[in-house]
Order: sequence, then C-alpha cells, then structure tokens
Amino acid sequence: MMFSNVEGSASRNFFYTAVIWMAIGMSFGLFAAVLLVVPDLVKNVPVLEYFTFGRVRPVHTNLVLFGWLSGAYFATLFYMVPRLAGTPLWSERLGNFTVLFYNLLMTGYAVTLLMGMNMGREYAESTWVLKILTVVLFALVFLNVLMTFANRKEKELYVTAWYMLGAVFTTPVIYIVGNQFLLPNNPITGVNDAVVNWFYGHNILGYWFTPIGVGAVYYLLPKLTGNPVWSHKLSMIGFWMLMFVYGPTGAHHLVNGPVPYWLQTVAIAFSVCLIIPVWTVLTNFYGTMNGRWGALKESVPLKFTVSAMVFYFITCFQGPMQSLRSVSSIVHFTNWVVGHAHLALVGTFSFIMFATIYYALPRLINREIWSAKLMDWHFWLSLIGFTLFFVSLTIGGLVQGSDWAANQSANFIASVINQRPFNIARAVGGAMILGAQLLFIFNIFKTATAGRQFSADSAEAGSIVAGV
Amino acid sequence: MRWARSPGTAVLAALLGLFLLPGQAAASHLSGGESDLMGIYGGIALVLGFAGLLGVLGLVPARWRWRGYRWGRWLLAAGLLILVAGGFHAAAIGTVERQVGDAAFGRLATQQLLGTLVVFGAFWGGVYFLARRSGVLNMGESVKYAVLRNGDPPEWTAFRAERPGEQRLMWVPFAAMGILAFFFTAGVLFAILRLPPSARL
Repeated sequence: MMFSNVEGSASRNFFYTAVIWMAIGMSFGLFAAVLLVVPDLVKNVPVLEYFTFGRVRPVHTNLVLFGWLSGAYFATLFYMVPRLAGTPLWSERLGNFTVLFYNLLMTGYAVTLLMGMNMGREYAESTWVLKILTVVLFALVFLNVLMTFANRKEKELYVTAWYMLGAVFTTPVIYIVGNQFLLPNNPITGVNDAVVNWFYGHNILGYWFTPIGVGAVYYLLPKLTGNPVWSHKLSMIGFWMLMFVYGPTGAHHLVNGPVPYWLQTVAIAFSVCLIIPVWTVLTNFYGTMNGRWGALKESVPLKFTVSAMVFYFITCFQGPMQSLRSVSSIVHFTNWVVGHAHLALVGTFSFIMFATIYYALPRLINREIWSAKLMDWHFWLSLIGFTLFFVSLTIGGLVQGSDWAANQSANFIASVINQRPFNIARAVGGAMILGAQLLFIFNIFKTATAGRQFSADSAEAGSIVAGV
Repeated sequence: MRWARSPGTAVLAALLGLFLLPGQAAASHLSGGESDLMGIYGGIALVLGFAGLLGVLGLVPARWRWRGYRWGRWLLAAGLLILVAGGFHAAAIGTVERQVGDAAFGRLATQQLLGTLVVFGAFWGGVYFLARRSGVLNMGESVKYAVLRNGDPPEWTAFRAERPGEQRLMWVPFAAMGILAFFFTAGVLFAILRLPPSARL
C-alpha cells in the first residue's frame, strides 16, 4: 500500500500521517504549557522525569513544523500541483516512498530530541544527520513536483502554482544555508551564527510556510465560493513582493542585540514592506468572497479559511509592529512573541490546512466527511481555544515585558509569578485546541472507514454557476 | 533625450546623491542612525517607489499610462534619493535625540507605531483606489478561470444561491481584524508609555 501507484494515494497518505504527527506534536506542546504552570508535574516519575521543558519544547516545535504542517503541505502539493498542471503526479510510487521516509525521519526527530540531542538553534535543533535526511526528503518531494510541472498540459500557471514553485525553489537554499551547510561542526560561530540562524528561522516561514499556505487559499477560495479569484494580476504582484521583501527580515529577531545596527534597520524596513504582499492577499480575499458570504454559514472549510485570513492579517500587522526598536525593547523574549508565532503557524497556516483537508480528502478517497457536526465542533473549539491561547500570550507578553523593563534585574521572580494566570489561560486554550484536533482525527478516521460515497456531480456545473 | 528616460540614468542620479553627500554621515547612518525620522522618510520613499513601479509596469489608469512609463522611473529614483538623503538627515537628528533621552522616547515610540499605520493605510487606500479606477487588475485574467474547470469539483457551497442580507457577513472578519489591531496597538502603546523613565532605552 505504501508504495502504491494509485493516483492520489501519496497525497492521501501524507494527509493521514500528518494529522497523527499533529496530535503528537500538539500533545507535547500542551505538556510544555502545563509544565509552565506546574513545574514539578513529572518530578520523580520514572522516564517522564527526563521530559523537561528544554527537551519537550523542541519536540513540540519540530513535530508541529515538520511533522504536521510540512507533512500536510507535501500532501497539498501532491493534491494541487497535478490539478493545476493538468497531468497526474509524476510518480505516485516515489510519493509514497517519501511518505514512509518522512514518517521514519519524524520518529528520528522525536527520539533524538527527547534524548537531549539538540543543536541549540531555533527550529534547527535536530542533529546534522537528520538535517541531511531532511534535505533528502524535501528533494524527493520537490523532484516529484517539478517533474509534474515539467510534464504539464496547462500552459498558463495559476497563482497557486507560482506560490508553490516559489517555495520549491527557495526552501532548499534557506534550509541548507540556515542549517550551517549541514556540517557536523559549525562553520559559522558567535553573533554571525545568530544572524544565520534567524535568516533561516524567519525565512522558513516566509519561503516555505507562507507561500504554500497562501497558495492553498488561492486554490480553495474559488472552489468554495464559485467565484474566480478577484485579480490574478494583483496576486502576482503579491507573490513577487513576497519573494523580494521577505529575505532580509530575519534580523528583526535580533533588534537591540549585538548585531550591526544597519542590519537591524534593513530588517525593520523590509519587515514593514511585508505589508504589501499581505495587502494583496487580503484584497483578493475580500474581492473573491464578494457576493458569496452566505456560504460562510454552511461551509466549515470556508469558516477555517476566513478565520485564517483574519489571523493572517493580525500576524502580519503584529510582525512589522514588533520589529520596531521601541516595541521590540518591550516584547522581545516575552510571551508576546510566542503568541505571534502561534498566530502564524496555528491560526493561519494550520487553519488553512484544516480547510484543505476537509476539501481535498473527500475527493481523494471518494467519501464524504463522516460528520458535519464534528467538523463544526472542530472549528469552534479550535477558534475559541486558539483565541484564548493567543490573547493570553499577547497580554501576558506585554505584562512580562513591562515587568522586566520596570524592575530590571531586581525582582525577576516577581515577573515569573505575574505570568501564572496567563500561563493557566494558555494551557486551557491549548487543551481546547488539542481536544478539537482529536475530534478532527476521529472524524477523519471515520470518514476513511465509514464515510458515505462522495458525490461530485459536477465540475461543469461549477463552471456554469461561476459564469465561465 | 533617450538617455534621460533610461532606468540606468535614474539609478545613477540617485547614486550620485549618495556620493555627493558627506561620507561621514553615511557611515554614521549605516552604523547607527535613528529610526523614527527614518520611518517617515522610508514611508515617503516607499510610496514614491511603489507609485513609480506601478507606472513603469503600466499599472495606472489608461489616461495616466504614458506619464507612468515616462515618469515612473524618476519616481523610483526620487524614492531612492529620499531614502538615502533621509538617512543622512535622520543620522544627524538621531544623535541629538539620543541626548534628549527619556523625553524623546515616548515620542519616538508613538511615531514609529503611527508611522506603520500610516504606511499601511496609505498603501491599502492608494493602490486600491488606483487599481479600481484603472481596471488593470482585470487584465490578463484568463488563467484564473482555469482553476474552476480543472476537473476538481468545487464544493457544494459554490452553487449555493446567496440570500438577502448575507453579504453583511463580510463585516465579521473585518470587525475582528479591526478590533484586534486596535487593541494590539493600544496595548503596546500603553506598555511603552507607562514605563518609568529610568527603564526606557
């Protein structure tokens, strides 16, 4: 089965396994959140006592970034690229091999990080051998994508294809450079190490997670509303601006730090420029939704997409704001930044992937989603839980930053105590999010095993309604 | 006068400004200019530059298009010049502001935040206005219809008839964005401005 050549099987298998990694990754996240409230929770508990915050946190981030989101992105690429290219995936067999390879690799990530094998860099904690294997994984997926495009029958490239191709070309550069060229010993040290780390840490968001997520939205919106995307030209301006301005923004993570002042200024200026691509996406979103807002009442994928656009706006509103020196001096290193990262990765891109799965899976396995009610529960629990989560982190971050600045080093522990209510709210929100995902996985499982047959009476009817 | 219209001339003119102005100021800016005034210069430069880019690409209303082709590159160059010259000016002013210290901190923070909002609003409003007026956003759009007939059946909601009043739902995400953006801005400003003077950078 894993090396099946059946059309759509690689995409389906990536979706199935990605949601499992999501549950595992989010469980570690919730565990880490609870540890912040009850630090001695697993003290003297056999085996679990080794699951300290320092080990659990990178397992959470890596499994969620590479296990869940990247796995779902591979599935999305394998689903959307053939449909945009008008030709089947180049090799389903290779695709299914990458599914197996990816699952083994994620297991390696989890085990080594829990053993404390950590390179000490944000989002790049895994050991160099696993990093090389990660590059191999990405290379295998990208080869499949590029060969599918090379064999395409559709001459013109839709905006989703541009975004996906952009990610395919830029991600390897970002990953290889940012991970110290995959060498066992760091060729780049000291402050330069931090600069390179944030070139990678921020750009993996900008050149991998953003383009695939935004590209998926451009694919989904017309499919969910029946309206063609409002302006293709505007979407292209947005795509090229994203490619142009994202690169130098990483150093805004080092504002007010011991890196060259000019580098910080450049990062701030380019961070503010990110407003432009975001503006294009949101304008196109509103334009495309025009006259179709009623569908929001009945379509859970659309609810997820619309919520993701709200969170995308807020993420990209916060981003330039917090890159400013005066704001950074308050919020840097605080829970505000943790909230910001979750706004992008959960509120925006994970929500987009939920919508994508609800849309794509029935078409891949020819079964309707098992329970519409569970879909609704999934949405509302995710939305309410996540809102509680990021609002508590955001307010907590401001309180934390104010405490630090006001007390300096005199009373640090008071600032920790002041965070307690926010940490509790964060854990409750996190539990709601995880609970929502467990319902989601159950629904997916039941869909795969007991879903009604999918009735797609008509792509043509869709075209007629849309006035094509 | 063909040379005058070439992009190379425009860029050269901008670079000339860089070399004509004092090198010490440049060094000062590159190694530590202040950023509040730079935000204003940067905002103006960004607007001019983007307007110029729209002109060069032909993305302006038809009756302005020839002017866009002709002057777009000069707007780009002017944007670049303002950015560079503004850098020198900001560097000089920045030194004074550092001496003022705490008293300037609140103003600096407010300017930076409001500057971001102004740039955001200016881009959104200005370019949307231009785009709507010109109609260029609907040019070369055939590709977007392809996705609707690529054999991947749309969701059933795509065929659903809109009922009266449902368009008002558009205000829900709009309000959510506005409320969150307002409270984030207010929260940050509140946190910054209530800091005791001794804690300010």
